[in-house]
Amino acid sequence: MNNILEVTHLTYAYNDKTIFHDLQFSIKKETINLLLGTNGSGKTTLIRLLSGILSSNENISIDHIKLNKQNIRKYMLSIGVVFFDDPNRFLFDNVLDELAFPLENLNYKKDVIINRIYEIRNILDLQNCLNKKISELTYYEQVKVLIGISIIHKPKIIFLDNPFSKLNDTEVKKVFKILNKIKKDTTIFITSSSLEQILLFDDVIVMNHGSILIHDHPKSVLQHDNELSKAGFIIPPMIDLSLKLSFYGIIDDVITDVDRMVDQLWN
Amino acid sequence: MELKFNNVNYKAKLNNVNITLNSNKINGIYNYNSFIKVLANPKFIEGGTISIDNKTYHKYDPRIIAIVDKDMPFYTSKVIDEILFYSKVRGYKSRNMKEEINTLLEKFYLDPSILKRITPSLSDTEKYFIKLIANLIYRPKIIIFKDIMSGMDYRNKKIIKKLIEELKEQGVLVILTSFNSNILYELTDEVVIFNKGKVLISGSTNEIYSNIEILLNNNIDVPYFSLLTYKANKEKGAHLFYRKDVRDVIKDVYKSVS
Repeated sequence: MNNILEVTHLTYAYNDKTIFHDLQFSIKKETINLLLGTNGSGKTTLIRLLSGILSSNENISIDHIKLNKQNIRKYMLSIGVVFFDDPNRFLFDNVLDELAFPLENLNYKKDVIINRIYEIRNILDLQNCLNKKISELTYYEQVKVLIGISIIHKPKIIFLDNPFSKLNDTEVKKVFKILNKIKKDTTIFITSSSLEQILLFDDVIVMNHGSILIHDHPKSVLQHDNELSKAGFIIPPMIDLSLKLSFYGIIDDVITDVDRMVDQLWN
Repeated sequence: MELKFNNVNYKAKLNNVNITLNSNKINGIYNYNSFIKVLANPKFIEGGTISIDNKTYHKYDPRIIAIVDKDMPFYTSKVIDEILFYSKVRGYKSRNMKEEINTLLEKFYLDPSILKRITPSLSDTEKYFIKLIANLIYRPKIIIFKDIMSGMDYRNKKIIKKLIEELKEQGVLVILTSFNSNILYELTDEVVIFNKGKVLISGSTNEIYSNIEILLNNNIDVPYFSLLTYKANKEKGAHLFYRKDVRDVIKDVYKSVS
């Protein structure tokens, strides 16, 4: 079995309103996954369920560990989670305390903690931020530090809720370079309402009205562009242009890079 | 309504900034951090003046300038309390408060039952809309939308677009700030591009995004279609026009390629 996360028959209601009904999906090991959903479709709620913050009906398992009362400690050790839109996403005022806290909490020895922080520093290129205060970081640096905190205890999967909404293209690409290094040890599950970076992911789940509309590779998902617009997603300009030009037979691929597009068109 | 910066210097983050923003246009600001900071802390200005309708502006007054920020935490735990709290602090009173709130809720297609909910249970967009309502209700004269449209889907984008047009018609000075040039290109009439504490260029949005050489030379984000047009014309000798709408771009490309 190369699935890391299994969700079977997940049902959840809030104030008599059914949010998920019989939700089923699985996530493969060593992949970067995108959960696409329009605003208010329940992306954050799903992350809260998957990370055990909201209780569900024992239908979630990670690496065959079922999320229930008996396993909760073991389960929690195998996940990491960050809510990027939470104004209280940091607990301390400096980066080192933030990084050390999860391990101190687990009673690790001091030298182990220091070694692991150095490892994280190298993976995430945090050389310039390690001794800074949180308030001195740019948003891009904050994102890197938060990802660092989420993987510091070597979880099997991390859930990142809406990490990219305030980053520009170059920054997102740099984050993906890091995620591609991480994914060998830690599977990555990211939520977003935007299709802007869709081609950088390995797998995409499109959620609509509490059920799964499409679960496929990014390029196959984009073939459903009419369904996606109907469901309320914005098709990003370059993807829209690519799809329409390939409809007219002018190009034969989805191209988001302007240089490549110009080269293909005026060859 | 007119907001004017006259030779403003601020903590080495703004250098001799001269700009005029007018309420008959929708204004965009690129690289907005220091711009918002100086409006929120005008007493730290180290030279020059900021004026609103020719009156000097030296103390932050939220009744005049509202800054709508997604990242601001909620002050209270219940939605209705949050909305009333803003009005109370700003000294806004009205007999028809309930109706005014309901009209605004309708504008955002929110059900009145949301008023009874607790703030942590709201989705991110609902949170943003509630903050907007809390700010709109006391009718500020200048509204700054910090990082507008980030993470919004089609339906909510349309709601915000309509709201911006309405505010402009009412004479409110609307200022949209973003790091995303595609959004500024789509929504604004005039744009100010800050770079390293100085105004790099300002003026009509269409003109600025069809002369992008200066932006490229300063590593500033440019809209995709402007970049495509620029590169096609310069490197491949195509004759494309600068367009906003994907359908126009396709027509141009089709003509040029075939």
